[in-house]
Amino acid sequence: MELAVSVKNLVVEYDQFRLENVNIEVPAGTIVGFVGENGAGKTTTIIAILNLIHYQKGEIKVFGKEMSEGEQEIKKRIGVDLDDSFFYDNFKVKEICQVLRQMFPDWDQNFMDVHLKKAGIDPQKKFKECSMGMKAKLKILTAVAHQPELLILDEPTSGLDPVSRDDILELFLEFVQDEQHTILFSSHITTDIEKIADYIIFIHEGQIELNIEKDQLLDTYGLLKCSKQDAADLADFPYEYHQSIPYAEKFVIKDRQGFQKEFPDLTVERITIDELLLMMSKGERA
Amino acid sequence: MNALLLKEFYLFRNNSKQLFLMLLLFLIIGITTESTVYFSTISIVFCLQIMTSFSYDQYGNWTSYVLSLPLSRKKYVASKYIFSFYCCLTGGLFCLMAYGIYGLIKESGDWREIFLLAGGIFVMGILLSAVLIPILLKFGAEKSRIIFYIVFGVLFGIFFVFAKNPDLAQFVQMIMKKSTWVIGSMTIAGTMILLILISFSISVKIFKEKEF
Repeated sequence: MELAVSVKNLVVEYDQFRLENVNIEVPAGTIVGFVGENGAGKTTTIIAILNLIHYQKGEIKVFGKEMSEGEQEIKKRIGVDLDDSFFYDNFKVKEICQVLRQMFPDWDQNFMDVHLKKAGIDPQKKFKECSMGMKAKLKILTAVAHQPELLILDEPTSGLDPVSRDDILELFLEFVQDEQHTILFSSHITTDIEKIADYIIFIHEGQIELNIEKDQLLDTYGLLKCSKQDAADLADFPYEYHQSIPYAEKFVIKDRQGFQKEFPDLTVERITIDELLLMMSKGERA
Repeated sequence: MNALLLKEFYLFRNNSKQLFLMLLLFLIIGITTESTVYFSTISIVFCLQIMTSFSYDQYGNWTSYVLSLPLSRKKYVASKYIFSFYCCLTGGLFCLMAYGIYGLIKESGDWREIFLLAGGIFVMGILLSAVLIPILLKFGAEKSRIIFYIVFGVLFGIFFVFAKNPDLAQFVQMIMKKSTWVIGSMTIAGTMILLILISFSISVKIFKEKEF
């Protein structure tokens, strides 16, 4: 399997935070969702991949090469949308495009013009005059206009209404249509990830908790909610995470169907990404 | 590199309204009060547009964005020096223009002195930028403002010591008299280039270590 991004045993240390042996694989031609609560380490991992920070240990490869082997050439093949960094508010959309056009020889202004019109963004408008949705779309469009092979996006749909989010997800799907393009995008809006991701990586407190194909996760994982008495009666059984809530116990089960066969009296529901994320954050690992 | 300079140009253009209003105001105040010191002040403001550039970079988190694009850190630093050079050139030209207009209106002024003053503003701007850019890269725009006032104060202090000390002033005048225009200009240009090269290499080193 060809990998667009591979991160091995990445360690990043700050005073109050540590990324601990992070391992990530982003197969080429797929959409990979990077999920975690705020402060889990999503942005740190992404900026480490982009070589914006120094890391203490580990190996990061993009398109099979480390950044030291030709950062500029690698970055020409990447489109980036970072959460809170872009052009100044006072820049006009047209000016933003003109600056980026100078940066990328393969910049497709025709693509920009068509999509700006489609998104209802006036090129003469200042960035600060755009709505939240327009700003987010513009950032994505500018990341895509030089026809990169890989998109790295940090919280691209954060703070948007469902309609704008859906528009952006459509853009992503359009981007990966030919199966040659890859997207790695972080989000804490799990419904977006559930909609379009092929693979999901869960990160919690600087550690990768799970790296799994989305369909496999949704098909096999389950959530068991039972009374405290039922939980005590179950004695030893395999589970991934456990959380005690008032009057009940919750368990994440890896093999939902197998568990259901073994314990037919209990109901194990399909798990959502939201619930799994909550269990990782609030529960305890087995 | 062109992209970065174009971005600086747009930024300069976007801020030019306020800047030119200020310029006009200082020009009017200078002419009406017959106090030409305002012209030098506004010229220095032009030279220091590099500080505004860094402030905006910080404000919009532009730096982390631009470094995620195919651009080396060295080129980013180089673009700041080139932009700074243009700002100082604009400052010098404005000084020339303002004193020239004033001289024509008041039918006074010595063109040789005006050219010397404009050149002095340009040189001072370059020197300040050479000191400021590494500081701006190391500490960011906000902290650097405070450091700038200290640097400016120190430079003013040195100038004051020279001006008030007859021996030192005489020594400088003696050197200036002995050297020809060509030697003087070449010495200044050589010193400036050397300082810029030292400043640039320090800046690149600082910026390569920086995290975003």
